[in-house]
Amino acid sequence: MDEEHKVKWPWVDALGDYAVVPVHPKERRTLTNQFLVFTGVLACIAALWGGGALGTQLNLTNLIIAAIVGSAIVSVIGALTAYIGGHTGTSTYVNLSRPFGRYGGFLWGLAAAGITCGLGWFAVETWLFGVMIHDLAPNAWWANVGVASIWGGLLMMTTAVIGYKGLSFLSYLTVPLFIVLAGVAFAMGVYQGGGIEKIFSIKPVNPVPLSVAITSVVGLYIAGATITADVGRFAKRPRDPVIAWVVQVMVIMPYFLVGAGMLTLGMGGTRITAALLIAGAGLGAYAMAIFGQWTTNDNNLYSGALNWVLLVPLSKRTVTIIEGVIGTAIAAYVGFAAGASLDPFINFLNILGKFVPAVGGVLIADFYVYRWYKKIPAHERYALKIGEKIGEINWAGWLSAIVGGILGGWYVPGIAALNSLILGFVFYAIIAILCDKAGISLYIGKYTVTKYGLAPTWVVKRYERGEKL
Amino acid sequence: MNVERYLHPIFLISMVLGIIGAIMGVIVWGKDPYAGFLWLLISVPIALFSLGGSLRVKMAKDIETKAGIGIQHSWWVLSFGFSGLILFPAPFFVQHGGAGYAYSMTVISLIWVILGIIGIYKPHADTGVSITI
Repeated sequence: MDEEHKVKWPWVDALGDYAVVPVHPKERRTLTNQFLVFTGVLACIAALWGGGALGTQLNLTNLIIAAIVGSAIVSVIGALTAYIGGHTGTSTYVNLSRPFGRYGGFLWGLAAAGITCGLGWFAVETWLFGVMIHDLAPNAWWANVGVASIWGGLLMMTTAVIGYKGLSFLSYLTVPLFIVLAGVAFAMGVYQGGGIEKIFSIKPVNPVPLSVAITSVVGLYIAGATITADVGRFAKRPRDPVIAWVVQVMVIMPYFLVGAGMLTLGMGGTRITAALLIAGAGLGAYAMAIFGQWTTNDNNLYSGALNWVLLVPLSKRTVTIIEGVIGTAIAAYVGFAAGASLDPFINFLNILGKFVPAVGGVLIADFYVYRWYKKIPAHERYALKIGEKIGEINWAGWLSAIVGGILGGWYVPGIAALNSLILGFVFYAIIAILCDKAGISLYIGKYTVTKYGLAPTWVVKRYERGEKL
Repeated sequence: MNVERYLHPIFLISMVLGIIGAIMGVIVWGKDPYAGFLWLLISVPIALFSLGGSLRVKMAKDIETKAGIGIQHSWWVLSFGFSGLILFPAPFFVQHGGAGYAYSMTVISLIWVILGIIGIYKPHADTGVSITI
C-alpha cells in the first residue's frame, strides 16, 4: 500500500461510490480485479463485433496488423489516464477538474460520460442487443427487436444499479467466457475457411485500406481509454491499472479482434453472433450476445450516472434507473417502429466522440507535461486535499479541447480520434507553459475543496440535513 | 476458522478434473483439432489456476489473505467451468468431438461451477472478505 493510503481517510462520501472523493483504502481492489473489470468493458461490441466487421473488410494479414497497431495506440492512451486514477483514487470527473476547472470537469465529464455513454451509447447498444437477439431467433416473440431491447435494457440496469461491485461480479463471471468464445470463433473460422493457409488467402467481402481499419480499431475503444480512471481509482497500487489496461488491450483486444474476424472472414461476412450460431456454437452465440452487451452497457450506465448525479438532485441509484429507462425506451421505440433509424442519433454521438479524445489529450498534457514542468511530484499532482483551491474554469483546457476536437475531428487527415487527442495535448502543453512563463493565470474563479470533495452545494446541504441521497 | 480445510480439497478436485479434461482434449484433438481446442482451452487454465490457488493459499500467512486468494482462484474455476457448461453441449463440439466426450465435459464443467461457488461463498461467509476482491 503506498504512502497516501496509510493516512486517515478524511472524506465524507455523500454521493456514494466515491463519485467526488478519493476511494477509501479498504475499498481498493487487486490487479486481478482491475484486469477483469477492464476486460469486461472490452468484451463486447468494442472488440468482438468490431473484429467481426473487420473480418469482412481485410485479409487476415492486414487484420492482424490493424489489430496490433490500433491496440498499441489505445494501450498507451489508456495507460496514461489509468495511472492518474491509480495515483489519486479519484474519478474522471474529479481529475478533469484540474485541466478544465470544476465547471469544466463537470461539463466535459457530462459530455464524455453522462450524455455519450450513459444515455447515448446505452440506448444504441441496447437496440443493437435487440437486433442481435432477433438475428439469433427471428421467429420468437421475445426476440422481436423492441421486446428484446426492453428485457435487455432492464437486465443491463441491474448490475449498474448495484455499482462497482455489480460490475465486478459480472466481469468475474463472464470474462473467461469471452476468452473461450474468441478462441472458439478462431477455431471455427479456421474450420469454416478450410484451414489456416486458405484463410490467409481469402479476399475480404468489402475491402478497405489498412489506415481506415486502424482508425476503426482506435475509434472502438478510445473513449474508453480516456475514462480509465473510473476503474483505475479502485486499484491498490498506482501501477496496477496500468498493467491491467496494457495487458488487456495488447493481448486480449487483438485476440478478440482477430478471433472474431477469423470467423466472419471464414464464413464470408456474417455478424459474429449469427456466424457463431450457424457454425454450431449453440448457447455460446446467445451468451456472447447477452453477456457481451451486458458487461459493456452496465459500464456505460455506471459512468454516466457518476456524472449525472452532480446535476440531478436524486440518489445515484435513482439516476441510474432513470437513465436506464430512458435509454431502454429509446431503443425499444426504434425497435418497434419499423423503418426507424438510429443514424442521426449515432451521428450526434460521433460528433461528441471527436471531442472526447481531445479532452483526454488535455488531461494527459496537464498531468504529465504541465505539472512536471511545474516540478510537482507525480503523487502530488492531482492528490485531492481538503482546503485546497481549484479553479472554477481553466480556460486553456477549454480552448485546447475545442480547437483540438474541431481541427482533429474534421480538418486534419488521418485517424480523427488520434488527431484530436494529439492536438488537444500539444495545444494545452504550449498554452499552459507559455502562460506560466508570462505570468497569466489559467484559472477563472476559485473553489475550496471541503471534506465532501467536489460535491455540489445542494448535495452537501441535503446530506447535512440528514436527507437520504 | 481454517479456510484451508475446504479450499485445498476444492482446488485438488478441480485440478484432477482439469488434468482429465486435458487428457480428453489431447484425444479429441487427435480426431479433430478444431474441437479438441476447446477441451484444452478450458481444462488447462482450470488445472493451472487450481494448482496456483492451492500453492498460494498454503504460502499466505493470515486468514484474510488465504480467503482472498481462495476466492480469486475459485472465480477462475467457476467462470471457466461456466464457459464449459455453455459450450460443450453445443452441436459443433458434440458432432466433432464425440457425444461421449462432450457430455462428460459438460458434467465436469457443472462440477467446476459447483466447486467454484463453494470456494467463493465459504471463505466470504467465514471471514467477511469481499467476493469481488
